Amino acid sequence: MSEQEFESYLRLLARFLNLSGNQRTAIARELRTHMEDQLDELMARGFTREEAIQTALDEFGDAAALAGESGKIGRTRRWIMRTTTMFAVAAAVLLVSFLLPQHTAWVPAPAVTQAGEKMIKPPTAATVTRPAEVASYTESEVDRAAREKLTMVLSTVDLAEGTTLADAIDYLRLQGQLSLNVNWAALALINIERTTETDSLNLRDVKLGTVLDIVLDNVSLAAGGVGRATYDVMDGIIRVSTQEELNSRTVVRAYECSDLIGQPLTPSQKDTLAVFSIKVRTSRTPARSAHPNRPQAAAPESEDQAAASRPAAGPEAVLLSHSLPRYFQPCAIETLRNC
Amino acid sequence: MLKLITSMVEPDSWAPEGESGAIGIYDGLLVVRNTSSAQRQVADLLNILRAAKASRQARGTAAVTAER
Repeated sequence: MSEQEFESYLRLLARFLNLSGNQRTAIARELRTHMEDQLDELMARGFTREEAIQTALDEFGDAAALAGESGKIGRTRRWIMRTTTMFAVAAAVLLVSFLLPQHTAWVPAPAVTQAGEKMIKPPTAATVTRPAEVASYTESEVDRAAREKLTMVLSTVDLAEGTTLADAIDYLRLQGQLSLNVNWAALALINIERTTETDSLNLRDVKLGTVLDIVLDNVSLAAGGVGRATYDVMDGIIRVSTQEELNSRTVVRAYECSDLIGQPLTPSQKDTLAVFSIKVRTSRTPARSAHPNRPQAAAPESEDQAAASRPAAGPEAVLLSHSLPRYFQPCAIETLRNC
Repeated sequence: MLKLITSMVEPDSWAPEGESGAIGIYDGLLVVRNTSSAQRQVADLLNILRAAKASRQARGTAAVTAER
C-alpha cells in the first residue's frame, strides 16, 4: 500500500460523502488527520509504515467497496435521502467519536512552561502532535544534566565515623563534579551545622544521589530530628536545604492533559460538526417516514417490544459499519436503526 | 484527576493543609504550583497514565483483530 493509494483513499472517501466546497475540505482534513494519527500510533507500536497503512485502512474499510456501492445511490430519491442521512450520521459519529476523551491518538504534547526556563509553545487548535511526544516531559537541560550526575554510580564510598557534613558534601561534590550549593542558614534553623557529624558509610556500587540522601538523613537525625535536610535541583544547581525552605520555592507549570480529562473542540471541529448536525436534521424526517421496514403501529409497550420492532441493520448499516473504525461500529449501527 | 494527583504526589503539600501546592485545570491544561520535585512526580504520573491507557487500547485492538 503506497502513499499514493493512501491519498487516493482519502480523496475517495471525502468525495463519497457527497459534499462540496468547504464542507468536503473540512471533512477531508479531519479524516486525514485522524488516519495519519492512527498511522503514527501504529508505527509507534512497531508497525512498518506499509503495515500501518494497511491496518488503518482495514479499520476504516474498503473505499473501493464504498465507491462501488455509491453507484446505487441516486436510483430513487428516497434511497438518496436515506443514504445521505446514513453517511451524515456516520460522519457525525466518526467525528464525535474521535473527539471523545478516550481517543488518544491525536493528543497534543504536554506544554511545560516556567518563568526562566525554556518555553514551549502550546499546541494551536490546528496542531496535532504525535503520541510519542505526549509521553515526553520537558525539564530544562541544565536541570536534567544536574540530575543525571546524581545517578552516577560510585564503586566505593568510604566515610569514616565523625565525618562532618561539610566534609561529606565536599567529598560528593568532588566525586560527581557537582554544582552543589548548601543553604547553611536554613539548615541552622533545624540545628544542622557544618560540623554536624554523619554516620560512617561503607558502600559499594551506589548512586551518588542515594549517598547524598543517606548523609542528609543521618545529619537530620543527629541534629535531633527537628527538621529534615534534603535537596532539589533548581536551575542546574543541586540545592541542599531544609524541606520547608525548598517547599517555599515553588514553580508553576502547565501540562497538556486534555487527552486524560477530555478534549475541548477546536473552532474547526465545531464547524465541521455543525455541518453534519444540520445535514442530519434536515434529512432525518423524510428518511424516517420513508423507511420501508419501520412499523407504523403505535409505540411498543416494553423494551423487548421496542427491540423487536426495531428494524435490523440493513445492508446500508453493514456497509457503513464496515467503513468505520471498529470502535464506531456498534454505535453507528444503533444510530442507523433509530434513524 | 485532581484527587488522584494530590493523593499520589506529595500528599501533604497541597492546599489547604499544605502550603506549597496548588492545582487546577483550565481549558484542558493541568496547572500546578509546587516544588520542582513535585512537578517531576506530576509529570511522571501523567506519563504513567498515558502509557497505561495506550497499553489498554492496544490490548483492545489486538482482541478485536483476533476475533476477526
